[in-house]
Amino acid sequence: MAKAIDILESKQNLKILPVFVSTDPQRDTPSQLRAYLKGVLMIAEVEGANTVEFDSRIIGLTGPVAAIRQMAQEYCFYFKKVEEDGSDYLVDCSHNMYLLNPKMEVTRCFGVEYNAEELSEVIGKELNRNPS
Amino acid sequence: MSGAQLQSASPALIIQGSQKNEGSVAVATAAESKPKKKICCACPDTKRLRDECIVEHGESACTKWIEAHRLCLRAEGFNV
Repeated sequence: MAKAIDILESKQNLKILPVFVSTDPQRDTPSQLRAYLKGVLMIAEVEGANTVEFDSRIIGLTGPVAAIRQMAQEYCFYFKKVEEDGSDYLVDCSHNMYLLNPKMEVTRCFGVEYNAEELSEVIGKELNRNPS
Repeated sequence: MSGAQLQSASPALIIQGSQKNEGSVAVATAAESKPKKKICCACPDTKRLRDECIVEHGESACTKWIEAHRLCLRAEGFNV
């Protein structure tokens, strides 16, 4: 997703605000999220995705399980703690991305089959079709 | 113009080439007799069908696909 944002900004001069919401609030503390998302940005940079100065930041969000569950209901994604074994567990969850307009309405939903180029192209079309 | 993009899971398009991360930052390791995929990468076909159904119709209408994905994960060696 960081690459798609970079493509959007460098090629189409479009700016979006990326938000990552963790579905594992027990383990993904704010500091964990910060370290993880920093790694994501660094990978994008290392791969040479940047053609302009990289100033985008992915905002990492977490919250109590009840809040995540409510979000799952409203945005129709799935998450479930599985394979509990003592203190360890895995999380099975959807991998969707949502494009929201400034009114916080979902205009588009993406599965993981989109690569960075396709993602930026579709987002660009959506933004140009509904300029805000 | 501006917009906000919300992602409910790992930005899996980047990490480790085509390999994806779990929904959790902390990588869980489990002792197993055979090597095992990460749960987020296992059974991509049933996972996609389940996720598409949930986005369109909500979780309560998708028990068939949720169960299909769960059975596939179990066949892959996950304890779900």
